[in-house]
Amino acid sequence: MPISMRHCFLLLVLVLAPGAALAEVPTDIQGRPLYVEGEVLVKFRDSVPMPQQAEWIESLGHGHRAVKAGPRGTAVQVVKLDTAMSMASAMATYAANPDVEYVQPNYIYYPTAAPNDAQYGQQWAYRNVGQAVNGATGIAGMDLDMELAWNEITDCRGPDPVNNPVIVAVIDSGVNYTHQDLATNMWTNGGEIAGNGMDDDGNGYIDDVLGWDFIGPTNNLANLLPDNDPMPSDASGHGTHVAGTIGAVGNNANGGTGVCWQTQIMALRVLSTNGGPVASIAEAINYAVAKGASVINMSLGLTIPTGTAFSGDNLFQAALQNALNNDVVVVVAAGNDSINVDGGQNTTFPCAYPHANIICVAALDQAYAIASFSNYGATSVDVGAPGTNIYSTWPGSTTAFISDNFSVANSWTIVNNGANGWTQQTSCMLANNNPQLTNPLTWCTDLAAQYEINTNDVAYRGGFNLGDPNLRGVSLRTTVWYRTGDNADFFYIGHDTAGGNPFDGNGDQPAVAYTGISAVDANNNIAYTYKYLDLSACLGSANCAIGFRFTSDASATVGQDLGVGVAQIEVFAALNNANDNNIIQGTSMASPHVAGLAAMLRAYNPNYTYADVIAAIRNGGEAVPSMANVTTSGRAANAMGALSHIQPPTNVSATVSVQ
Amino acid sequence: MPFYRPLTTLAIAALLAACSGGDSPPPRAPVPVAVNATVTVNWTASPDAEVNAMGGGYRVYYSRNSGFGINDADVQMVDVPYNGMATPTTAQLSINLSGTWYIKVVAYSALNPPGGNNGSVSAPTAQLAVVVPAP
Repeated sequence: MPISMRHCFLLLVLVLAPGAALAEVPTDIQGRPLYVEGEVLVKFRDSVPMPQQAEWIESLGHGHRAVKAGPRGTAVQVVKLDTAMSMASAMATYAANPDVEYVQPNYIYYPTAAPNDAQYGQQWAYRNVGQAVNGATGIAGMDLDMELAWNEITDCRGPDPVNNPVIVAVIDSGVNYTHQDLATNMWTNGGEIAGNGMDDDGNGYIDDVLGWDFIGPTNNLANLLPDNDPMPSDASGHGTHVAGTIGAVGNNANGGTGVCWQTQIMALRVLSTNGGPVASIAEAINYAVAKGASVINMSLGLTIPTGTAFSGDNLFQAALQNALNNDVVVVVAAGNDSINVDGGQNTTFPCAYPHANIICVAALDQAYAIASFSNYGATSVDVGAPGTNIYSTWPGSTTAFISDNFSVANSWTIVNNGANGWTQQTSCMLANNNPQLTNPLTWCTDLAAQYEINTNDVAYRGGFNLGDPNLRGVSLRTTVWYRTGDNADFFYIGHDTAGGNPFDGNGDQPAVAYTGISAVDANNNIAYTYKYLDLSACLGSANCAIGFRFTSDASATVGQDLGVGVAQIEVFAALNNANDNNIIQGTSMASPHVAGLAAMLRAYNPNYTYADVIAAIRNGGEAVPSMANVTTSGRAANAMGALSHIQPPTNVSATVSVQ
Repeated sequence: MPFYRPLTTLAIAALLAACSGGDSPPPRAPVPVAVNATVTVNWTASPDAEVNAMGGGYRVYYSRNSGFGINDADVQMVDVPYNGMATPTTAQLSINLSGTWYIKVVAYSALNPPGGNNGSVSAPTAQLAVVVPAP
């Protein structure tokens, strides 16, 4: 009975020398085995013939193989020890043989996994050495321990990267899929033939090779191209930045890197610069599930203020349930409201939805304090991850390629129906004497200015050139301050593809309307805000017009300061083949660090369920004071910790037999 | 050994003691006797790839002390390492005393080896109690 005898022997050893059998391999500075257990390297003197070396090793009952150790056929024997012989006694035994020149352990060397990307040094989240990023510094060592994890794995596509890769869906503002640091890491739908006008894979989407754009102008949300088109380009930058954190190509000497050096990013566009509707978001989740994504990142949220009725959004929850039923991990941002999002008040969704496949991420700063803007919640938010001053890919120029501050007199065409409407002013006293486009005329001088009743005034300028074929997304940012007397008076921002009046019914594109007050500063003054408009309808036009309209009803509110001032317009663009990067912050930037890690865990452990992935991230995190009592785990996500985390075995049972 | 009855007898004795009111002394714990028993322990394979690869495995700890810690002095252990093809999910414990034994299993990997700095293997399972009858 060799089996039971071996057990008897083991027990005997334990009784006689309980410490000896439990002796462990020493580890390197990072806790990894220093050498191969049960092996020694034996170098015999060159004068000892190989057969004699073999005979002597075999006389000890050890296995061996020879490896070339130098010129002229010198060899070192890699000796596999009998399990009964400890490393120490084997070393002593071999060293005592006068024919042996030396004996040593079979040491293990590890690759150093810092990638060579040019701007890697800015990516403090991966390795924080206290470097300044965007002018801010933190504490060395407060990071994801990414380089330790990269020693084990950098390719997040898994064991079958071509036929069955791990896919990460980025449900966001789209992705600049031609970006030079993203293009080779984008998912493509192998079941679809590009541009043939047919739904080749029968999933209900025609020519969805790159993903899908789930929003369109019917939402009155800015869109990139006409409705529900197959081009999930990014017109805002948000989704491209998120995608780059998950998987900007690593170690390619370009830009930065993602958590994953290689991955498959499925771009699904649901967010315009004005947000995205749940109908689109839920459809995108279901699309991602159907097309095989096993990780979804949603750096988006909705915070319901205290006292505001909320139905619970069954549609969103049904899509999350579908993801759960299909074993998909959903990583979401906690939100940027600086509030506790646990149920009851000021709740942020999807973070606070109860589905077990959600992992909700708060943002940490460079010292691993909670970021000033980050939401938190002891029952809703799961972990923290780096979220300030995050360097990642950007869809186009990070500076406006068109800018107009109204300083060229009479450069805007004014179409007023009254005497005191839109006015282009080259020096506006109440705007620090900077130029301004205002309605009414007196907005620059009178703190009780009043626009006219029953007015309908337009100011526009044509000739903006959006004809560059490399443009993929263009958005307008306007710097405005306004207040209306009631919500029947409106301030509009519009555009026109033919250079004419954007509000004359000819070439007009859908406009966005605002009412109320732009913003209020600390002194209770009307303050500037940014308002955005997607100009994608103007793509290809060398004569795009941008314009403003103001309408009021018959009621007047006397004694208040009512009107609108526009300080500047700027046009930002997403560019085909872009290679820009940008430093921004938010819980939106924290979430994709965890999504990348989730993909890495799934690639490393193909048998993991969503629950295993989330357990590894939560339990394998680094306990940090700032996350204690404000997250379910009390931890910051840690790549090496998650990778090395092991769940306890399950379903332990035993049977007894007595001889 | 035509019969072995102590377990049954003791159980009945305990039951009688429990039912007979406050005057009886509490039942005495059974006195362990030498046995030659084998406890076969089974569990479900870990989903962690590294547990099922070189450097990975399981350790089955067992003790006569309920609530034992795996590093306690009198705890015994059987190592179940990756065998070159797979990591077994079974172990046989040779037990030499009758009575209740308690079993905990941990998983480990090359990334998370016993005694390493990355943590300490997996958390142990909840203890499993096994009664080894006297012969």
